[in-house]
Amino acid sequence: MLEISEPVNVWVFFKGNSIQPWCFFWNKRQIKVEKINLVHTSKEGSNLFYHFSVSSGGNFYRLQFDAGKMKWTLEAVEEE
Amino acid sequence: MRTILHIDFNSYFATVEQQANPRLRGKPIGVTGGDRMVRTVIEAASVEAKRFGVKTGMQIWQAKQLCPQIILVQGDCDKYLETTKRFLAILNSYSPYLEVFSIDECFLEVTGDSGPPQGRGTVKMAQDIKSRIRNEIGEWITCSIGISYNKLMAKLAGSLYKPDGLVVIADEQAAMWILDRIELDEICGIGGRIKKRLNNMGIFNFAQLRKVPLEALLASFKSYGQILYHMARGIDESPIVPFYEKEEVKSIGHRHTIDHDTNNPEEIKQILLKLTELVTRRLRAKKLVGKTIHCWYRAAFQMHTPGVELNLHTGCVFTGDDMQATINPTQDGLEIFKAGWKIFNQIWPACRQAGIGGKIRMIGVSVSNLRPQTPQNLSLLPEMNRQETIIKTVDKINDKYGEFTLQRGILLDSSKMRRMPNPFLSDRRFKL
Repeated sequence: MLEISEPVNVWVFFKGNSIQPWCFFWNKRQIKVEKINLVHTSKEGSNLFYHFSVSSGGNFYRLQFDAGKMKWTLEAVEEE
Repeated sequence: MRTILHIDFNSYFATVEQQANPRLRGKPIGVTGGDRMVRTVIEAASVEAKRFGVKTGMQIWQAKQLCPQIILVQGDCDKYLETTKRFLAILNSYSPYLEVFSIDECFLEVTGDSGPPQGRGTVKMAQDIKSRIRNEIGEWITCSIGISYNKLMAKLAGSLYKPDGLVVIADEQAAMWILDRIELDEICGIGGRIKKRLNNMGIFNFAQLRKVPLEALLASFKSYGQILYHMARGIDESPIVPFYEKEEVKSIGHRHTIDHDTNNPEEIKQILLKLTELVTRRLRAKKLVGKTIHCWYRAAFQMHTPGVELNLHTGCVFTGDDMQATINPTQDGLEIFKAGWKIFNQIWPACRQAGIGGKIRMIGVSVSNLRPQTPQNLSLLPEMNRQETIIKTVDKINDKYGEFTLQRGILLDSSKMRRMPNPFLSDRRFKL
């Protein structure tokens, strides 16, 4: 698994009281999120981060949403 | 009759990692401790890795020897804690009598019309819990559930079938039947040492233990003899203690394994100061002061010398030392650091004489004898008031922007440290 920490653009939708990434853009590709496997949060001081562990095409990605700065980052990648 | 469920998540950290990353599923994985990959141990092995004999607490090299294809995954305590919060919320919906035993184990006492332990109502509830965990947290996460009439037997029931088990020990008769078929140390409360002592008394199983009079057990094991007497009969009257009723911590401490062996006093001082700052941050957050300072270290590995007992197969041994001292009750980082540094300088010379140049690999500090902070009279000394204001302001900034956003200048180039939740969740600051 590669820890990369790159800013990315993400399309999301809001379902119930949750935010769900639908697809994101990385390495000149549009990657559609097929499944959100786990969501967890972390804090740095009072700033809240959401971490989405997702799958697409048999590959693994972890996206981070910085709730304070409203910014998305691709944290980790594991591809075929 | 009470009805108690014991819920134990199977290979918890590893299972959570496999839930997050499906590419790890079905493969032997080992989660490393302390969110790093070096100078650490296997914190959790997946079910697949356990088949090769990989165990929690094993050194990395040992795990790789047993299972060369093991995949090492860096631990992520935020992930595990969040998952714990979610499953506790599920369990809390069934009963408020929920005792958190550790980050991946809990007891749930159910009352009302669920019937006796073996009743359909309770078994259906357990199946429902498993189903909800799969649907609401993740399909890869499984747990073993034991159902019985007390905590001891519920925990034993849960341990009998893993992973994803559901076992009922309905009553004392069933408990005797099970106890007569397990080893002494398969029950919670009898470890290797107690087992050895019992063996030395000629006791090798629970049937033999039941024949020993209470007086004899009390004579050999003092008050623990009573517990052993009850254990052999499947008796346990301990209540469920909900998390919010548990006692506050008795001490606050931190330790750090350095990523290289060092005997540089400035570097060690820096690390000790940083650990002390973490400790005193927690003291101030809880509005506590402490007066007993405990400092310890672990020396770097040294080669085996004849007559010295081996702890590892490489021929290296763990050595170390520790000492404590009492000071005036305080929550001031610098005061506690000074006391800790003084203790360290008293115990460090022994390490220097051990032939490894005084190099250490780990250092720790803790504060105990805690009590609530009392309102201080304003000091007449302006520098004392200034100091207190500075500490409060720094705490406020670090609360908002993260640990060590503002720190003492001497710590600017120090190695990064992160607070980990105690697996037994004894620090209630990690609120559930």
